[in-house]
Amino acid sequence: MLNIDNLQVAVSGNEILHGITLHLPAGEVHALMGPNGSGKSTLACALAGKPGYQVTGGTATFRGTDLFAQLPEARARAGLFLGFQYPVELPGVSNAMLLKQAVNARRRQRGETEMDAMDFLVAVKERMAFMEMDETLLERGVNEGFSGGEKKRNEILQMLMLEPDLAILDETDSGLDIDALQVVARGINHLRSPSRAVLLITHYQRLLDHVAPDRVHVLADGRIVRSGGPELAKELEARGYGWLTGDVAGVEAR
Amino acid sequence: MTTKVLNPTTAVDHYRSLFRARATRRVGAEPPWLADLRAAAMARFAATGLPATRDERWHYTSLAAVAPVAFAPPGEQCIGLDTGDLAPLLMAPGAKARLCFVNGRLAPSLCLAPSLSADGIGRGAPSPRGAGVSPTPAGDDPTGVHGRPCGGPAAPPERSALRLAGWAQAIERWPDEMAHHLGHHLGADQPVAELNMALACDGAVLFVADGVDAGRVELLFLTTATSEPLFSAPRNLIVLGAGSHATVVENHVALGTANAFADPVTEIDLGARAQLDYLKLVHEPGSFHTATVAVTQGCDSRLTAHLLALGGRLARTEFVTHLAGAGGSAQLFGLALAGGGDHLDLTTRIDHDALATRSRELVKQIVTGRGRGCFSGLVHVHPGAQQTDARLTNANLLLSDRAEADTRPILRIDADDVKCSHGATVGRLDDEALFYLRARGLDADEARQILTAAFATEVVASVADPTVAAAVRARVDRRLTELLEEPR
Repeated sequence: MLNIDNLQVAVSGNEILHGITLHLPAGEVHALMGPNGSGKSTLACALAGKPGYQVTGGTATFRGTDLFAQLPEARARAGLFLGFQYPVELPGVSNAMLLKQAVNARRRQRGETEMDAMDFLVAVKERMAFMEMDETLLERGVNEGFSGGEKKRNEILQMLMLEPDLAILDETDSGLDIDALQVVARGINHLRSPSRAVLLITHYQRLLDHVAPDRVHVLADGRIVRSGGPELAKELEARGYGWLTGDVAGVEAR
Repeated sequence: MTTKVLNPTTAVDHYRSLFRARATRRVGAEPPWLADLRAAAMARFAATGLPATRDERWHYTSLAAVAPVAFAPPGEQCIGLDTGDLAPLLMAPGAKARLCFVNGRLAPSLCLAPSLSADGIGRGAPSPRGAGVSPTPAGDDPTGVHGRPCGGPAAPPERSALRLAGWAQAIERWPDEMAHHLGHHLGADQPVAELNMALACDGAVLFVADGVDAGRVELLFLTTATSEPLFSAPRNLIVLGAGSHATVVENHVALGTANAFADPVTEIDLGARAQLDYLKLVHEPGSFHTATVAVTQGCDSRLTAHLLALGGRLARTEFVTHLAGAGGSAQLFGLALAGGGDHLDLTTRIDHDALATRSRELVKQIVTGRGRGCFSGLVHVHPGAQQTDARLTNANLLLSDRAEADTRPILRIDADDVKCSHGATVGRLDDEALFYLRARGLDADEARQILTAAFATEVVASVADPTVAAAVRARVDRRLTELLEEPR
């Protein structure tokens, strides 16, 4: 599904990612963990195509096509979804309108007819109930005045509506209380399927108690310093990141 | 900044000659009090000439391009329009009452409800708190001018709930009320308003009786493209009796690019507890427009005003409301959409001049190409206007590097127990917001369109009447699409 090879990314001329290699097959959930400033969000932004994130080397393919040859909107329509760490507030842009436009942009891409208003409403209300969201949020401005938890639920709602093939969720768990965390985890688990893949970017183990990853990667100082099974996350929880960032120093010393 | 000083004599001579020509034609046709008003106004205009940029209120807008052109009122004209042509222009479709003016002259065939026959009034059953237009018998005693003092006795009930007529008929039929109001809501030293008084030839006059709900009224001012430079000076008067309600839309629109100079004045008087939703729209590409709107607000009256400018070579609206009665409130919303050929100016002044008055003002400007949007807003809390609650906000969105937005919010506070604030911002579309929409599959142009429309939404969504709101939304969206297609 997603193949990243020796990816190097710079922001404002400073290289942040120094050669990332990561293979995420369909049907799997991978967790990308690491301390603050290790480059986790940089990877997410580069993959989604955020302006200002310059790919200076390496490749990334999504279902076999070169990701970096496409505009951000084309990546989204092709089925890549980025769940934002800090979803922006868009006063004056109704949540319902954005959802509908986004869903229809993806449907057009797939050669499907646009969703009619009634089908859309039924679908969105069903998913809002699943995410335990107040229906009044639909008519509000996108994320406008939403609480931190509501914003993250709204990201997952968008994901459930768009049914992406690849979801990259950037610290979707940060700032959530335990109830919200469970609801968000339920949304992610709902999306899991043999034809989809999820990259969970997180600082903490706690989301992984609810969404069991197939693989765990640790990013430190712009490099993947360790990959392993779910037990790696538990080890990080117990020992912190220090012993791994030490590894980096060791590698560079050699 | 252009600070070219006008040659006052050119313009003054030209408009004085128009004044003389008018006076000769109309000799004996107007009552002496009106002729006196006009002569005095002409004298005051002649003393100052067109405003220059050294006048603080005209800081951003120079009339240097107006002065040398011999704009003149139209001669006999063939309108060549029917009501079907108006449909796409109307901002209050379905209004029961509408007056339409073409190039400054009343066009009876395009008006609605008030049958502008000899007695000048529409025929409908009197309907207090209904939206009817009712007849006024000849010789109606014009005593509907309510007292300003709070709690004073209400004026004797009008026999007609709503009276709407063109200027000439209003002068003829309700001379005392006209004399009472004309010029009385304007401040001193308003040269373009003086020019209007001197040369006004037509306009809309609306009286709503105490306690009546007048519903929606649209005043449509159409400019058609003419070969000759066209001058018009519409003079409107809106008087709402105690406890009455009305929604009035004043819609200035040019068909095509016209070479015109419109100098409209609207005076508004709100009685105690009266509620007016007033919306003024100007969209006159290629034309000059120097409007003055002056409001006097009685006790506990509520004014909501929307001042929308969608285009004009030079379109300036000066809006002044005088909160003269205790407990009055004014809500002002401004929206300017300036493209490459537009210079839009909104100058507002809110005078808090009584106890416990409240004002809210929100002005947004979107500017692209080489366009310019200028906002000056003054909130003046007069001595004794304690418990004033005022907030003034201005936000500007620049869509090109060459666009210019000017903003000058001013609070002048001469009382001590007040709550006042102001703020202004100038910015561009937010990159984070653009990326968010693109990451959801919307292309870059669509994302820009959505975010630009969203910037205007707060003003558009504040229009209370749903029919008017829908018309405003459609007009604004259409204009925004044009702006976004312009070269940046």
